[in-house]
Amino acid sequence: MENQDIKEFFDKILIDKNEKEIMKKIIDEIDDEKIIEDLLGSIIKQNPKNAK
Amino acid sequence: MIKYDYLIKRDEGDETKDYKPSMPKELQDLTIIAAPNSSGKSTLLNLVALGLYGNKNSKIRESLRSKIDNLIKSDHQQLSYNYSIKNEISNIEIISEKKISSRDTVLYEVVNGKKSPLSSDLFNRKYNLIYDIPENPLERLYELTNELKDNQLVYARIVQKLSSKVREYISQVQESRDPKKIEHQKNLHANLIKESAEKQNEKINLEKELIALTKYYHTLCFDKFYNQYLTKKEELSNLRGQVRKQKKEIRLEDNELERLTRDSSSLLIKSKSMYSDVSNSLSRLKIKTEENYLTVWNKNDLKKLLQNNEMRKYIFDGIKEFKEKLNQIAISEIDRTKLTESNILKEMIQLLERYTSDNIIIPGIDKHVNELKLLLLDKYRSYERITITQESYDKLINSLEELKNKSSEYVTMYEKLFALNKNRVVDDESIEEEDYEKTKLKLQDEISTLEAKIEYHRDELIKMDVKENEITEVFDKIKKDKYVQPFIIYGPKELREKLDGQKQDIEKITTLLKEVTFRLSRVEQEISRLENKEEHRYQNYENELNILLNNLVVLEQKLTIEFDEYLKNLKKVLKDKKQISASAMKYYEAIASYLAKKLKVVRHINVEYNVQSIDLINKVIKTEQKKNIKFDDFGTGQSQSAYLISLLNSSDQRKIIALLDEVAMLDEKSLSPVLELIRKQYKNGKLLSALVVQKSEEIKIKSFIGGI
Repeated sequence: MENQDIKEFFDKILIDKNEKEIMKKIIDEIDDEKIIEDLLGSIIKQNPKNAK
Repeated sequence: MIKYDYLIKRDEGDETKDYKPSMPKELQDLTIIAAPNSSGKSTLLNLVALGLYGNKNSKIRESLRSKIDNLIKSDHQQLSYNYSIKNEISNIEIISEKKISSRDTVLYEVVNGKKSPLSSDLFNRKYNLIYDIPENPLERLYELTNELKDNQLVYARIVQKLSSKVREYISQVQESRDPKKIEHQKNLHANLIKESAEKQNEKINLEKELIALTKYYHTLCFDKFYNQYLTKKEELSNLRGQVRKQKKEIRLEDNELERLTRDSSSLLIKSKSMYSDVSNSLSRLKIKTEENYLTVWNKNDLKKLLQNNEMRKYIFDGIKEFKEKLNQIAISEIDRTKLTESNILKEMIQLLERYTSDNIIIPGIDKHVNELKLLLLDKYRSYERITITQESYDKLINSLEELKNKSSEYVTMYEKLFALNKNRVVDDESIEEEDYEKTKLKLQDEISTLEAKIEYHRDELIKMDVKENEITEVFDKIKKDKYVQPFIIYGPKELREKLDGQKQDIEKITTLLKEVTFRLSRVEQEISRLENKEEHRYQNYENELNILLNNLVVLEQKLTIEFDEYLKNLKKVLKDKKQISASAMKYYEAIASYLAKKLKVVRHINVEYNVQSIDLINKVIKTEQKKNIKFDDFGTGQSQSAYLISLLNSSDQRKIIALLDEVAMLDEKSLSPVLELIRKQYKNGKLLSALVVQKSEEIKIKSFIGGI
């Protein structure tokens, strides 16, 4: 639940969707590569035409 | 279980005293220590905090850090210790020790049986040391934001690490096998091949053109110089012929001059004698003429009269008139009949003379030839004077005629001599020896130069496989060549310039070809290098990686600069609320909610309230029960309790080790929620150990693992 509190805190102070997700992943995850993989997936979903 | 031991050697002036633990050396994970002053309870907490780098922990209040430092930095005492905090729930043991001879503490963790050293930084990343003593409790609510600050910095470091990783991926992607780059290089390669072929073709055409034009140039020059050479040779030959002819003519003229001089001189000598005789004869005869020629004759030399065109008439007209006069005199003075008889007699005598030796009798007169001759001779002698007179006249007339002829001949010779001499003087066309030599040398020089040029062009043509006897044929043929046609009206000089330009063009193309070849080689190397690379899993996501990197960089800046600045300005904001920006206000509102969730419940005047927000700016705690509690109205114990609860409700994953001193100032209702929270966190595995210390008249050690 503590994680939830800090996640909510950053969710309130951040505006950018990607930044919010980055913070959530950082708070939840330990493995850097997984965070990057997930975040890249989100970015690709946001801009599918960018994906090759 | 906490096991500990220590020794403090303290110089007290009169003696050095050893201080050792007076309380039990083994304590439960959650223990409340109640003891009187100077019993060593605070020393134990300071010692545990020292072993966990508490003297370097900025979250611990300055006054406490100073006390921790005193343990090792005081000159009057020396310290050695060792302790172990072993948590069975998390299977973690923390071991710290310091030898009396060393200034440094040594810290280890044993996780699942594996012992590893812990640096200050690593410890603070994995464990959360809470060491607190009640002090100015209202201000402490603001210190709750320290945890946020720490979190922000921890997250900033993670973001930074992620940024580095993403940068590394971008770099790897850029360096990995990239079909686009390979395709780009292949296109470049194809273009270079095309360019190379074009340049090669251009070079071949230029070289063909150069060969044709060079051949044309040399044949043209050969032809031109050879014609000039022939002309000059002819000029030289003509010059020599002219000179030879001129010399011959001069020689002939000299001979003629000499002959004429000699002959005229001889003739004049003869004529002068005759002229003198005739003059004398005529003077004796006293023949008179209208012009009185004889006087002129006697006064002037024959030569002078004949050489003078004006005077010459005195000779020729005089002779003519003298002859006429002499004939007239002869006719008048001599009996013609007698003269005729005399002539007949003379002829008959001459006839008979031939036969005197013959015995011939002339019929009719019956006289011998000789007799008749003698008879006639007597008769003829009677006429002799007439004959002599006539003969003297005839002789004089003949002499005059001869003089006329000779004079005429002399005049002819003299005029020839005069003309010859005059011609010699006035002949401008004759070549002087000096001019001739100059002209000859000049021509020879020109011929020599032309020979060298001809030889040069001939040799150049031979080098181009054109035989000397084929040059004219090649010249005629090459004029029709397609490469030569555009330049057919060019002279040698223009052609030479064209050829030089052509060579430069070929050199340029050769250089360009070398460059293209070099570039081709480089591109081929690059293609090979690119094709040998491994593909990256994010090969096609460089754009997305850059977007992510940008997000991370911005986020890191917010965490390290923007949000940190908001926290630093928190106390300034309190003084001037109007200066708060919208984003800062949003941040402060989030803090208010966040702290409320950490605190959850507050007790105020014996009533518990569910906290909705802790407004640090307006210094008010808002509750779900709509009760707004001003900080100033909040009790000291309640404030301390709220602060400790917030600390223990940490939002990160770190394991807590809690050291709480002087909690006696909290009443039971304020302390109870704190201890309950400690137990809860302990059971959840979030808290490893807690030592809670309060003043008492006697030593009481009590575990509160099972309850308060």
